[in-house]
Amino acid sequence: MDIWLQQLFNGLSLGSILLLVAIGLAFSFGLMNVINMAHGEMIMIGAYCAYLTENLVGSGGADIAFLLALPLAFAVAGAVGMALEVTLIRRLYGRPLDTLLATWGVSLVLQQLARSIFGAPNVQVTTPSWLQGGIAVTGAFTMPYIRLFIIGMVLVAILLVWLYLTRTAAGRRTRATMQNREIAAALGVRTPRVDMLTFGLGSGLAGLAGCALALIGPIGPSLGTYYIVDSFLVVILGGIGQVVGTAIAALAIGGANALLEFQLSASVAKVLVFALVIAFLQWRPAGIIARRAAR
Amino acid sequence: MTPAPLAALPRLLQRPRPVEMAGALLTVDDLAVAYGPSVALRGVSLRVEPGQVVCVMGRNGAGKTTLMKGIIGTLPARSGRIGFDGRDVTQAPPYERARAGIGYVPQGRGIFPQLSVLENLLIGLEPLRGRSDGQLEEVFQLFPVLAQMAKRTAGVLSGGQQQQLAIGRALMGRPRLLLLDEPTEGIQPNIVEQIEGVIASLKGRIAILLVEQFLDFALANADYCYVLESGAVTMAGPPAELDAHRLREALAV
Repeated sequence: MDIWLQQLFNGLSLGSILLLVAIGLAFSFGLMNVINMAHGEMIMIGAYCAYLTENLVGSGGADIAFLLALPLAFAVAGAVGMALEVTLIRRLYGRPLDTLLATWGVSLVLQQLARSIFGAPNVQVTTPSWLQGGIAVTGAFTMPYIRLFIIGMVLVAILLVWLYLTRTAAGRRTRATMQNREIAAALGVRTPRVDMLTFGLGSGLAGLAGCALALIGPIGPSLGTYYIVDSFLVVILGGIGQVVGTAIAALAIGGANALLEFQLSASVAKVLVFALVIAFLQWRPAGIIARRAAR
Repeated sequence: MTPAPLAALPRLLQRPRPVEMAGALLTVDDLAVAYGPSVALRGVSLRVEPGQVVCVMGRNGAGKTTLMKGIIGTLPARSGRIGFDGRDVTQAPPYERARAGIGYVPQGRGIFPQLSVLENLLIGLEPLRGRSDGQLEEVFQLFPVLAQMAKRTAGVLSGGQQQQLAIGRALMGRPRLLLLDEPTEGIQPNIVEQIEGVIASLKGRIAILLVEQFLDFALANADYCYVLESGAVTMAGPPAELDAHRLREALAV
């Protein structure tokens, strides 16, 4: 029983990371109908930011290094995302297939770049002392501080994104552009700026997710590819543009992965999750929560 | 002394500016706009003076909405020139034109259904970079129903209320030219009256380019009319000078 709770809890923290990554994917799809294959590399960039900060601060400063790494990962991944939007994605506007291929190319380039800079072997980040250990609930079930921290960080990040979207003028412009780009532009909204900022925000969140992942596993150039497929599944399963649906899907896929991996091997678990998602989409093609109205 | 005929020479060599050009707020010259391969607008010219109400009439498919989209910039000009306030805006993106002072009320209203009424109105402040100097109160005075519904999601509003919202949103940016694309289409009669009253009250304060089906209202309020047929202007003039018989013929279905 305890072991099941443990797995479920791990699934919860994995799901929260997937959710953070999926938000960025949903932004770029909802706003520009763009499928960004390089989104996973924003995770990788965020994770290497954690590694880099620790090396720069020095081994003695692991406790504060991680706190510094979080805003840095957000900023660096966000800046890379904005650069990607301005230099490439904007120029392929209205050509979704070309965008898909081009961003996939960018993804390969970024992975190779990481390999050249940091080397092919995985690297590791020291867990800050204040995140070591956990809360023992029952005999075999403990909630590690790291995973609690990740869940909390995701909740705070999502709350901030929600406040940005609903309470600020920039967020209002973003939502207006998502709902009707043509009219928003005709009313004076600088839609290229909205695209850049929103893309940057989504990428920054993926960077943050990568920074969190650095705590629970090794960092490598292809780190992003492990998570990006699951994040795509979350976006599709949740229903495109649906916040609540996306959250439910993230927890479902995170939980299913953790439980099945525990029972079976990792690759069989992946196949099973895939099959379950496909079966579900046969039943409800629009996802858990269908989009209310066609545009 | 220079002989009298020669003294006139410098004036003759200077190309005289057309009198009507001098104060025009909007000048559209020989504008062609295409939807993909098919040309929907071929060589349309028109002008709107400050404070004037100019009406564009024509059958469905004559190119009225295409003309409006060409002026605000959501459809690109294939050829021709659009001048606003002495500036060439032919190549400017829509948001620059909105910021230059063109307010747009699209056909079908184009409200943001998942934003609240208030948020829709606040988007209207974009041309002024979000700065407000009491427009919200003015719009609420003009359309009291918007004040009552301010917190509601715009998508739940009735067609007439959405139209009032679209007009109010365009007025938030204090435009000098208002593009109104069929503001009374598919709306219950009492709200049509109210909207017509607002348009009449705006007359003289801001310029209005109006696409309208209600011939009587258009003729009663317009300073100048253009009739579009198959993407080209076939009749133009002040309402009193238009041939009523030909006009009915041009608009008959």
